[in-house]
Amino acid sequence: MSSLISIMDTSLAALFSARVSMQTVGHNIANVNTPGFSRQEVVQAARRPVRFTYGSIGRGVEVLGIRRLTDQFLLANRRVQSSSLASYSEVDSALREVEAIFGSVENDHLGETLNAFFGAWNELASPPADPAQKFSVLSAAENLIADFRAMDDSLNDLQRSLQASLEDEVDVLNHLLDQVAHLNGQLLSGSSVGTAANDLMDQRDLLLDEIATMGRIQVVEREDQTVDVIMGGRTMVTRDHVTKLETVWQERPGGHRLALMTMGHRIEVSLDEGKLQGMVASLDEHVQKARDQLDGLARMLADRVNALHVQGRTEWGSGLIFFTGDSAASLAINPAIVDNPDLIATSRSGVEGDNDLALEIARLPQEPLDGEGSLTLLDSYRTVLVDLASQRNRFEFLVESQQNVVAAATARLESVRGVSLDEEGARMLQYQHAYDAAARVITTVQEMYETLINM
Amino acid sequence: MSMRVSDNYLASILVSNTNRSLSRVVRWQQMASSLRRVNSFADDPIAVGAINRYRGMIETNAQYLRNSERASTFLTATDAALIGVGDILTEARLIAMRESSALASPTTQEQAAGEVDSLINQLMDRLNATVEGDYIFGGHRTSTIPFQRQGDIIYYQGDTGVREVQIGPQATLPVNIAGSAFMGAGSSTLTGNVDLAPSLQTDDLLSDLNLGSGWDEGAFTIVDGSGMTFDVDLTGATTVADVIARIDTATAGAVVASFNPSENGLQLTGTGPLTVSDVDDGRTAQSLGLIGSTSGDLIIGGDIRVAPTWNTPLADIPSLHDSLPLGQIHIEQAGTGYDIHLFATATLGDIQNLLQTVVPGMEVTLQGGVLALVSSSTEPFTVTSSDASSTASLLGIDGTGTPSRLFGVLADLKAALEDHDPDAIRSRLSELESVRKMVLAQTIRLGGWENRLEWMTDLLRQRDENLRASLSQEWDADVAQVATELSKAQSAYEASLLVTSRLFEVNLMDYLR
Repeated sequence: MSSLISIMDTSLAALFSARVSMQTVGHNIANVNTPGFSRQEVVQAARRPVRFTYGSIGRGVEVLGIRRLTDQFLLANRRVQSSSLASYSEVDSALREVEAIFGSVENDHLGETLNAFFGAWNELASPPADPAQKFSVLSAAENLIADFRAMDDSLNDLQRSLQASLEDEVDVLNHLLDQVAHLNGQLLSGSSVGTAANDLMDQRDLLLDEIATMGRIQVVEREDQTVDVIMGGRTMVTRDHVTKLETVWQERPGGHRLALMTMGHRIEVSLDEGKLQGMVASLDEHVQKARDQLDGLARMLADRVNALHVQGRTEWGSGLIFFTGDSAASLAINPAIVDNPDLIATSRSGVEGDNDLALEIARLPQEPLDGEGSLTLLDSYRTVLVDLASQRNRFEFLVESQQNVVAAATARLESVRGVSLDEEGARMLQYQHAYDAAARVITTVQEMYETLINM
Repeated sequence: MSMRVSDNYLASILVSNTNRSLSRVVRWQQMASSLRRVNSFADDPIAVGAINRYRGMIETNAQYLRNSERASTFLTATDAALIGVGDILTEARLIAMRESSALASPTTQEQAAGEVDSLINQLMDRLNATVEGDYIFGGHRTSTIPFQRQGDIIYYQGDTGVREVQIGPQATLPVNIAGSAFMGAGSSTLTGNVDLAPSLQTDDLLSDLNLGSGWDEGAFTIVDGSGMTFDVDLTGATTVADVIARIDTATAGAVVASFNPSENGLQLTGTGPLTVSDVDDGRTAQSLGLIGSTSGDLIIGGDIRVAPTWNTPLADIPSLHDSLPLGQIHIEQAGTGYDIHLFATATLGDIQNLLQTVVPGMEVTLQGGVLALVSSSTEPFTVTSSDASSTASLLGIDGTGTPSRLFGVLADLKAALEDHDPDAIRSRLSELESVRKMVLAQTIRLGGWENRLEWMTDLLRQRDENLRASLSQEWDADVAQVATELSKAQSAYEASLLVTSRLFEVNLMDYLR
């Protein structure tokens, strides 16, 4: 049978529930700007009623728990998108470096030194026959070689610094994986419940977001509230156990490359997307391609000039090769010619006023390399530029559009889990009134007691 | 259902929008400050390639202009020297006439011998001329004095080398006449007088036209009798067929381009009177031989044929086309005659082979569009047609190949004067005249080169302007557009800032107390 005491009890439960709700509102408001925070909500339900012959009487409210309001699908989607963004950004910034090395639209130094080199041959070919012009050819060739070397050095430095950052990032990744495993452990031990568990999960989500920028991950949530992290087909974290990564040098045709492997077992982990993949792609594809193209250009230049120059004759004898070396780094002027510029041949006859070879060398940059209609030496150089420009354009566009995609994904996620101060304000009013009302019931019950006693 | 708006949602949307507007402002600002449309490789990859190409071409073009100026210096000096040589020969001829007349006496002849002696020295001075330290008449041997005198014998120490200068992408120009040309260094020469350039073909490259000088890429206008003005833009055209097609497209068939009756150029047919003119300072129509106006319905263009090569089929040469097969020619030298049947020849190269095989010491060359025969012997030779076909005159080689003894004839004159032999003196008159003509012919050849150089220099200047215009088209920003876009972007940015500040100003908390 219902008693005044039981009404008191019901109202106390209401007070408790309103207080807990108010506390949650306070917690939400306090964390309005906390990154990765998901708003929390008190889950409450009516207590089981007491049955009487005339029917059931409600026993008030019960706080069942406090839950996080988030959306795992939106979260996973944003992670996938941010993996791609990180990957594009990494390649984009590497390409920016490569562009800076090649110069600018205003000043493409290699094009200019190439033109200057053939310009010097033109001057040498034009009458009068002036041996002093051979020094100009020599110094133009030295500038050209210096430029090839400087560019190759810069590209090499870029590769090195990319390798160093890759190693650093792998350390950071290992650390993050460690932290996820640690949080899994805390959740497993069951020492945290309610708000504390929710906040741990928020922290873990934040860590997973960060890991996702490093490489695309799959997150599998288990019933015991822990998550498994799968990366490139390998389980990196399961419960509180973690598998770490390391960078390993691998042999490959034409050099070495850095590979990502699991520590201990040395199984290669190949990432589809993310910062690490972006770095590996920059290293192996984009920067290496620029180096290969530069080498190709240097080789082509040396081959073409040499093929003509050896046909020449000077007062010292028949023509020598002009360039030695077959790559941007090894290209050099034949030391014999450096010592004695008179060895630069201008003709096949060796007669001082004859300029047939000098003319042909001066014409080289305009001559198709493989017969009518094929590319010229300058075209080949231009192809490298346009290729680089297209890649720059492509990745700049990808980064820009992917930024929008990530922003939209973030907006959608925040729309679900973010704290709205207006909403919390309204709730605050709601819970305050509920508290007031419950307290009012207690005062009324008290008055009822007094009435009873004074009867 | 409307979307739930959380504070973080609002912030992330506003931040990304503001960022976007700001980056747009930055992009237009960069264009406004550099006045360039393309500032980084990523802006426009195609334009990056084009800009690089145009800049390279401007650079190369400037090099050709510098080369042309050098060539001009050498040609002018050669020209001046040859005019001097002509004057000396005229003077020698006057002396010969005077001293072979009745007024002459041994004393005057003795004196005249002295004059001729000093003429020989003057001649040597002229031909030992230098430009910037190069002996211009030495062929390739530019650092050795070409002519040296020992007694009355002059030695030539140069060679026959031709020095060429690059004055265009596909164009070189000779800039010297080797002194060997005056030595009659054991040779007699006959230079032809008929242009053997093949008739115009639709697949002829425009860059080969005008005997290899090329054309001026650009545009021209046609005005026809119905008052219509057609702009014909030929930029990018490569062959004659392109030109015909472009004219057809530009005029929508109102003016039809075809080969002229001589098949050495183009003609335009339309509603008369027709007028063709170049635009601005271009020379496009002129370089295609099409400039001018007519009261009728037809403009017949000038000769713009490409230079013949040894592979040119005789059937392609308009002046020979109706006279094939060729007949027989007769070459007579030092009492020996050669009959040469040319009816089996199909190309200019066949004629060259046949002549060189049959006549000992004969060398056949192409000089521009004409044939030249050079015999290694000093004996004059004659070329005639030996049947009714007048083949020799069709090929432009009927005539006499003469030795070019520039110094020899003066030395002989001097000897004749010293011998007081009026007949011998008189007998030198005709050779002096033919040598003078030979020098004149060289001067004319030189004049041709100078004209070509001048034409080419104009073309290079024109090309420089065109290239700069094209570069600007690719590279330069449209200032008006940039200014408009920049102010638009700035307004958008300011608006988004304003909205952001306003949105965060209000909150439910303001109304709770």
